[in-house]
Amino acid sequence: MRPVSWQRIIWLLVLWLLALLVIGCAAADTTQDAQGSERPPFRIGVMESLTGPGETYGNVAVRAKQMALDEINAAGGIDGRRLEFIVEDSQCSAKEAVAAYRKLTDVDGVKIILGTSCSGAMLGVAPLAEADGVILFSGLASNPDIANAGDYIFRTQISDIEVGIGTGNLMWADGVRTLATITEATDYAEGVRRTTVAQFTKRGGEVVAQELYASDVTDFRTQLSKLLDAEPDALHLAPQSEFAAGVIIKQARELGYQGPIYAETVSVGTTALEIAGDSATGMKAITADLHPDNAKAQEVLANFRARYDYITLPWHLGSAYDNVYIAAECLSRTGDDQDAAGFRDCLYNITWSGAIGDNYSFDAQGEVVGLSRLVVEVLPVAERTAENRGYTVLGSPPTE
Amino acid sequence: MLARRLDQSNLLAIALTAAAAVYVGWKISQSPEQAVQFAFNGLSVGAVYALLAIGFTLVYSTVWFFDLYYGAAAALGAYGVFYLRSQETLGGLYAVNNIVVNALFAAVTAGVVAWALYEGVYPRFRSRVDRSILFGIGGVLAAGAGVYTGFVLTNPKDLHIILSPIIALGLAALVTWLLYQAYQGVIAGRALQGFVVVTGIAAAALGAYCAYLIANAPDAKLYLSWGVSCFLAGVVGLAFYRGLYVYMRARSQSPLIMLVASLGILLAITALTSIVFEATPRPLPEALGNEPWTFAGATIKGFNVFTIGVAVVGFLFLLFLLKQTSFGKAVRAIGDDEEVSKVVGINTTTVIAVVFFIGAVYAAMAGLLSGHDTAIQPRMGLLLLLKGWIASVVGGIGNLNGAILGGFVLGMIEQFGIWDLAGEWRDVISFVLLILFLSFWPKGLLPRK
Repeated sequence: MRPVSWQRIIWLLVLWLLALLVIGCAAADTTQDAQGSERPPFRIGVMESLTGPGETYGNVAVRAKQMALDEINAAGGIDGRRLEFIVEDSQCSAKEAVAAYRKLTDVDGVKIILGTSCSGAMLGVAPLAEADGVILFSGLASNPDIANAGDYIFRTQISDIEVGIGTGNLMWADGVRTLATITEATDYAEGVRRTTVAQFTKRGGEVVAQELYASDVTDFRTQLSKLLDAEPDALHLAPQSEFAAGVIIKQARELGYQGPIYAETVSVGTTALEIAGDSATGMKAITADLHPDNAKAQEVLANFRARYDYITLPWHLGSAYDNVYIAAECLSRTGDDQDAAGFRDCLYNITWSGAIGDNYSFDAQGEVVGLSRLVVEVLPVAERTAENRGYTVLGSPPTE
Repeated sequence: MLARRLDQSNLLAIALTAAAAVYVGWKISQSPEQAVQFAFNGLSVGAVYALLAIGFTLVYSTVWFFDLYYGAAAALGAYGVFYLRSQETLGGLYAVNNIVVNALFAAVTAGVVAWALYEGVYPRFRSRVDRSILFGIGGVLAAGAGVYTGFVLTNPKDLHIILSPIIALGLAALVTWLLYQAYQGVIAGRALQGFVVVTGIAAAALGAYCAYLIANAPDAKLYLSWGVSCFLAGVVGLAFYRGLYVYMRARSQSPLIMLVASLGILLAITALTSIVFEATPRPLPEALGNEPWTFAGATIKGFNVFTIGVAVVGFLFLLFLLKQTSFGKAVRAIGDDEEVSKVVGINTTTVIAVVFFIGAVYAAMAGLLSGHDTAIQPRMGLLLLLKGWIASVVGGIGNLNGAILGGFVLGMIEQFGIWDLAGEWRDVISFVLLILFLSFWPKGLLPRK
């Protein structure tokens, strides 16, 4: 081994000191800037699934939030202070969501995070946020377990318990007595299946076959063949990605299945219906949609379309949009983006009217109160338009 | 000792086959419709495996190493179609067109065309025309091919119009050549000029007419994109051989080095695909035959029948190429002994390069057919590669008949294997099959003679 040369070590030390000096100067520079101009902006984190199985809703959510942010800043900010986002990709997975969360809290030092889409990602991060005292405020994650995730965890998304009860009752009311289920192996999809099957069997129905698939599967023919061989009255579909939803609906029809299909929000997304084509016609789903009479909702949709030239998952869009305005209101009340406890208390006491509904609030578990879901039926391809989003609204789900 | 081991293997084979036959027979008696459905599913999937295994086997039996690039070629084939058609898939929501990607493929195509001209055309004119003039013309042609490729990739919306001249040219050349061959077969050795002129004019008219039809048929874009992506996947395969493997083969004795290098290529291309297109699965646009047909209580898509047809035709074409042409003789000679082939005057580098091109085209075809049937994702290359490899091991490594048989056998076993098991067991079944074959019947169902 060659002996270490002292000269080299000294050079390294000098370089290291120089680097420190440069970094220090840069840091000093920014602090001066901030003090020099005006009061610093409110900085909060945004975490959504920009890639991965949840990309459709993640991207819609981020774009809706960006739109709300620009509106707020264009109108003069929050009490004269600008609002700033730091956006991270949670990739619809608990592992990636934790990495994104660490980056937001450790590197960027934010205390309030708007997000995230995908229940699995939400459930992965929630224990950390709860322990650190960081606000996690989601407009999209719907797994029932999130209700018990902690004091700092809030959402405007309606829990899947309601979806499950509604779907179970709807199928029973339509005369379905035997059911086959196909479910993606994720927290969200599994939550939907569990609550739906619980309500359906409670009413007296029977599950005759069930299949579970991993998120990277692209061919469902064999699993569908097995389900259809059990000759169920109906097929229940709980996917995580719109892609899988579309392919499953298409392949089920290709295998000659003509019975009814029941599904949830993801399956009636634009991409899912585009892939499924006419195979989806007549499919019923319990989903959340913006009310046609809500002027705020229609305004948000019109602005979104004007800005991004498309619309998908309107309720999710509205939910993400409302989240930003609620956050802005609470920041205005606390006046400090590091005060997570104050923000939390603000959310417990707030009553809000926005795009997704009027006078909704949060209960002691951080669950939204005052919103409900709708039953929709998918139209034939020829009748689908950007305005009706491919389905017709049948009304509220039946109750027992 | 060896005899005893063989006996044991045979015994095991008989026992396992009998057990499988009894199980399947029992299941069929329980639900014959379900059995027919699984058989259809097995054939559809098996056709894709068979296509991959055929290309794989062709290359393996020539150079005796597994080129893992074929996994990437399958993904490239499928993503090529998506790339060219993405503006009109899913309302253009995920449309991609990247200038760097276009430039890269243009450069590779230019390089490969330059090489092809140098190897194929240059030696014929070398003695008659000045070297610098030939190089100049070749350079212009190669650059032109590169620019044309870039142009095609940049304007996928007008694919049918942009490609129509090259189709006219290609068709005219092909027809002239075929007529010329036929003529030579009938009356050999006569003066041919008049004949060539007449047939040339007729062929040119035919080519122009076809080009006119295609230029006015926007529906043809999808099938043209198949051709373009298969061609580009083949070009990249050839480029890797000529640009990389040739030097590695010259320097090292062990095929292991190339195996590792090709693994690197596969992983790099998979990663690049994820970067350009994102890792999430995507659908390809609707192709022919999406209507289900019903036979004996089971259904199959027209497209799946088409896929099976492509596998069979592809197999027969390759069989013809290997058994009936001088190129095939050269390929087989190289497979038997490369050194001796070189000694008797075969240009081994060129022949092997063409073999790599054909193999990659088959893989790309398999990838895009599987993509149309279900969906595409960047990892599909690796998954298909493993299945293609298992199919060729099951069928008999290095045997073309074995490759197609292995593909269909694997497809069937995968489908029937999960009759009572959950769907996630499919891959477990294929790999158990691989391990069984490797340990007991390493030569496969149809051993290479």
